[in-house]
Amino acid sequence: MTEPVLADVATGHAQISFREVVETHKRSIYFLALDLTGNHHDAEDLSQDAFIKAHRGLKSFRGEAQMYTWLRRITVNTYLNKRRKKAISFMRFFGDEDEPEHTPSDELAPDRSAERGILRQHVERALDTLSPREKSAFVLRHYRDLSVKEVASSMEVADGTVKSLLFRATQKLQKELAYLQNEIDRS
Amino acid sequence: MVCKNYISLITEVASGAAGEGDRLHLEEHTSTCDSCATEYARLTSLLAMARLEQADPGDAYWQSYYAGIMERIDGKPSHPQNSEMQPAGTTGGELRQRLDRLTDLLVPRHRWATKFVTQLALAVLLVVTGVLLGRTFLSPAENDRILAENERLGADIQQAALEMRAHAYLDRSKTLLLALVNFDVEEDDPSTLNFGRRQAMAGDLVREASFLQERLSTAEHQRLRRLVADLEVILIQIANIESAFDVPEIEIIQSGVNRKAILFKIEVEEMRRDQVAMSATRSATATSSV
Repeated sequence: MTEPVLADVATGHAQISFREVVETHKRSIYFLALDLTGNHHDAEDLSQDAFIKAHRGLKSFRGEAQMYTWLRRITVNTYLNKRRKKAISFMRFFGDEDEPEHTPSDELAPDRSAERGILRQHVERALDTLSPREKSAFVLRHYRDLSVKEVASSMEVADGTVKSLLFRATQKLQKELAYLQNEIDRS
Repeated sequence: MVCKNYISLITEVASGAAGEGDRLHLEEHTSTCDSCATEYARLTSLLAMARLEQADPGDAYWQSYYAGIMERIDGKPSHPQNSEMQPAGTTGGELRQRLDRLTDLLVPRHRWATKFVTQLALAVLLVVTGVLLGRTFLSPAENDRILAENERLGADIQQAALEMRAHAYLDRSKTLLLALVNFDVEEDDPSTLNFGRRQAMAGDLVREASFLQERLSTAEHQRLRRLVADLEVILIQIANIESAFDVPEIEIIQSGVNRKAILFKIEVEEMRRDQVAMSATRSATATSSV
């Protein structure tokens, strides 16, 4: 195993090791990755990829942004790039868009005994209808409680782009989850 | 029934996209409008449903987390299918870098340029060989006739090579423009545009355009020369954009391409080239059958 690099991360005069960076931020980066990908395996891959990229770029980290902000940006960019590559390879094989699998809502009858599990399935399916960028904006704004400006900085886009992504994501979720709410309202 | 003027604002505020002013404006309205208040509450609770509770993978997982990353950094990926993520410092990365350097040395940067130079060199070699053979084996009168014939042939070959080069220029420009024209400034991520590489390509093509415009001087090349000039204007704009995030500039380029019907003109030029090639093949077939 190679010796972890020591990096001056411009937090005063302190020098911290890559290990410290990982230990401090592993949970928050993993859970952000989990929100974006929706499953443990992909979240593990994504969060590790983000830390590996950070390891390569640690020496160039100038400390202008906070370490977590920087790691969050790397995670979101890595997620978007992975999804893009996946979409491209999907298109190469099938010659079509990377459309998420979708089952019409009326095929799903809520089962009260496993209501929680089913609710989760429905929500995951609804989240899958969002594009990677819509999902990133939505997760950062609503799950991580970032401001529009912070989301824009994490995704390296303009504030206006984030607003339009959030608007579209909300409209899609509204459409996808409306029937579920009707069920809940009726019960 | 939700008030017509507030449908969009409700979504905007619930989505988290609205500013403080809009939020307060909606709150003021919902304090007096029950249907909008119900719709707003309904939408916010619906979005709250989308917030999944995530399970913690457990202490054992967190204890080995750092070791897992270091294993991958040292070139022992825990998921071999992600080999594209392998860092450059590893054995595989070094090998790839060395191969890239070797490829750079052996293969010139522009394959189309190599192809063009090779074809031109072969044509010149053919002409020179013909001249030498003629001088050795034929009478002076016959020799002069063949020399004149060869000169004409040489000029034809030069014209054909120039046309070939112009069409290679059109092909490359078309690829570049298609990427920009198909780029959706609202939807697409500017980083996917690979802008630095495209700008370098535009710079190369601008230089090539000056070369071609000087040489496409005959009347029959007039249309091709005009197209090269139109393209040059667009390519200069691309080469001078400061950032891929400069959306208005990209939109100007897109409208310029559409207004001048550049892609259509390239298509027409391609069709013309194909027709010329087809008629040449037909006449060659007819000659050989005679």
